[in-house]
Amino acid sequence: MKESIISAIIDLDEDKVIRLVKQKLKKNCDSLAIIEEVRKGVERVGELYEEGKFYIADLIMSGMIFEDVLKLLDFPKDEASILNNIEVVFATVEKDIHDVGKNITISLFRSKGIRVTDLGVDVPADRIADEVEKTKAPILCLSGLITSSFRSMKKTVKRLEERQLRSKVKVIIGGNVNEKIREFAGADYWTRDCSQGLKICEEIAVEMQRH
Amino acid sequence: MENKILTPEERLNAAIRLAPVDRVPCAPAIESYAARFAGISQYEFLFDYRKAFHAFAFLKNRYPVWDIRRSSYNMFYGPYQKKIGILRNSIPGIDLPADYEIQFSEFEIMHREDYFTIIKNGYDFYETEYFKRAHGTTKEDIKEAKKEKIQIQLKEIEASNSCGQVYLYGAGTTSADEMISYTRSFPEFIKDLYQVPELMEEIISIATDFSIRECKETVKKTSIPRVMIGMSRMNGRYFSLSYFEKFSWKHLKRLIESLIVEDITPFVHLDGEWRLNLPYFLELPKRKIVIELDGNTDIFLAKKILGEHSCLLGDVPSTMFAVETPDDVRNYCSRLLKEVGQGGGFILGSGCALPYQAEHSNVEAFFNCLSN
Repeated sequence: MKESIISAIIDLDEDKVIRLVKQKLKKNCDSLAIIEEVRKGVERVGELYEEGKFYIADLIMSGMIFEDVLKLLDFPKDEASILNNIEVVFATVEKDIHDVGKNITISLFRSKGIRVTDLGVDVPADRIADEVEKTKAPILCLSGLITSSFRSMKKTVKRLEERQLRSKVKVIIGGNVNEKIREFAGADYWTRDCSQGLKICEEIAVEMQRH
Repeated sequence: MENKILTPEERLNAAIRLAPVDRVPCAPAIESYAARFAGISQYEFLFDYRKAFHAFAFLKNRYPVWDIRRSSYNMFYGPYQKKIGILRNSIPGIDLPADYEIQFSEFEIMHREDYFTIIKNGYDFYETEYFKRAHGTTKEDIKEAKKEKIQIQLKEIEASNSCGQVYLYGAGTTSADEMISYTRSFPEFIKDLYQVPELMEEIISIATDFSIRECKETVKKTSIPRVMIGMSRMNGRYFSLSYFEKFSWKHLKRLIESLIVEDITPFVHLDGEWRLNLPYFLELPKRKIVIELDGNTDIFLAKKILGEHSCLLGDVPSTMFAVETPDDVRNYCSRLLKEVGQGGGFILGSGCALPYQAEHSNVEAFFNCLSN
């Protein structure tokens, strides 16, 4: 039976994926075509998660395989992402330096073709607003784990309002958050896990296309 | 029983045994909030233990119903954070403004090949290597810092006793899988589980032996027969139950049972959503452990599953303290006392730490629900 990159991704077998990618490269296959194949595998992992057959760790693993393939192909992360038209600005807000959840989520987003501008951690409200203005990204993801981050999220949303940017961007907060924190911060959505965050982004994109 | 007023220690032990109590014991995990309440900076709190203990005493004086000191201050004491801090950290007054909270960053500090160090030289050696790489410290500094850590804990035990509180944790650890994941970073740890599962089982088993030994030795030094075991990662949202069984439960169970035979009570602190994993705890002896929940696992469901088996501690969420109202806190605590407290086996607490940014009125509502 012919080995495929897609099934190797579904098996979360990174060694096999890398071996198959190398074989394709030897045959002068197009990098973009390889990335598309890897992405299809990642998408299938996402579907299996939705069906309750896979877990968040499986999603994280598939995202890491995707990033490793990009590294192998020496393919810039952002270029891989423009295959899809969703663009996101992502930051851990001021006073918070936690980034494990943010980085995992970004890795998953990129594997699904979402272009992400990662501003890092402890990012002041003005810096975030600057980036939203500059990129015109329709989605802003704000991450925070400690309670000090809630006020920073609120401050960031307020800054977007002051700069007349709020209506142009949907704000998703993630981390140690819930509906009450969403209300407090004035965000549009909240999520505690990367897969749910991805789903929200995709729904926003569909909604945007309708308009 | 109803007429007899129990001492904090008696009350705690009765709750652990699911026996009747005069009132529900009160064990919020308070650290940084005490500093804010007392008007000292986070830097002062972390670097001057006398000021920190004064801040705890000040808060206890305000809320006498607070009878259990559920503190991990010795884990976060500033002077040795750059020597034996559990993760690479950013410290208020050093790396951050003096009034920021202490924060932790996770990097891939140890690599997969370092696992062979564990097999060859033991987990102690690996741990020392980790601290050396994470903090740029030396073996001698690590040794001294560990001695100082115990001294700080002993001083806090004394300070809490003189406030009329019982000090909860005689030692603290994380499950072995979690301990390793911190040294490797969570994503790399996941890769390891998928790619070298047999090696990981062996490593986690060795780390569990280390953890058992460390906990017993620390308990001997503190003379407090209770151990906190922190867990946040191998839960049923992240991993299948078969992964949980193989890489976590099997080893955690051995750790817990090894403590129980020494008459040490494990307090298993479950951060995150552990609903699917809760039934596993029924495999352990009844009335010998405490399960701590942080507000993400449904504690009312946990009561149904474990209520006749183990004491529950929790679980007013940090988000509630930070942004909700005193009425919300009051209503939630009342429900906890009524439903989870029903029949005993309950300790009222914050979910995880009572947050630095908690509204004072919410903290007041929390304590008052027991006073009233």
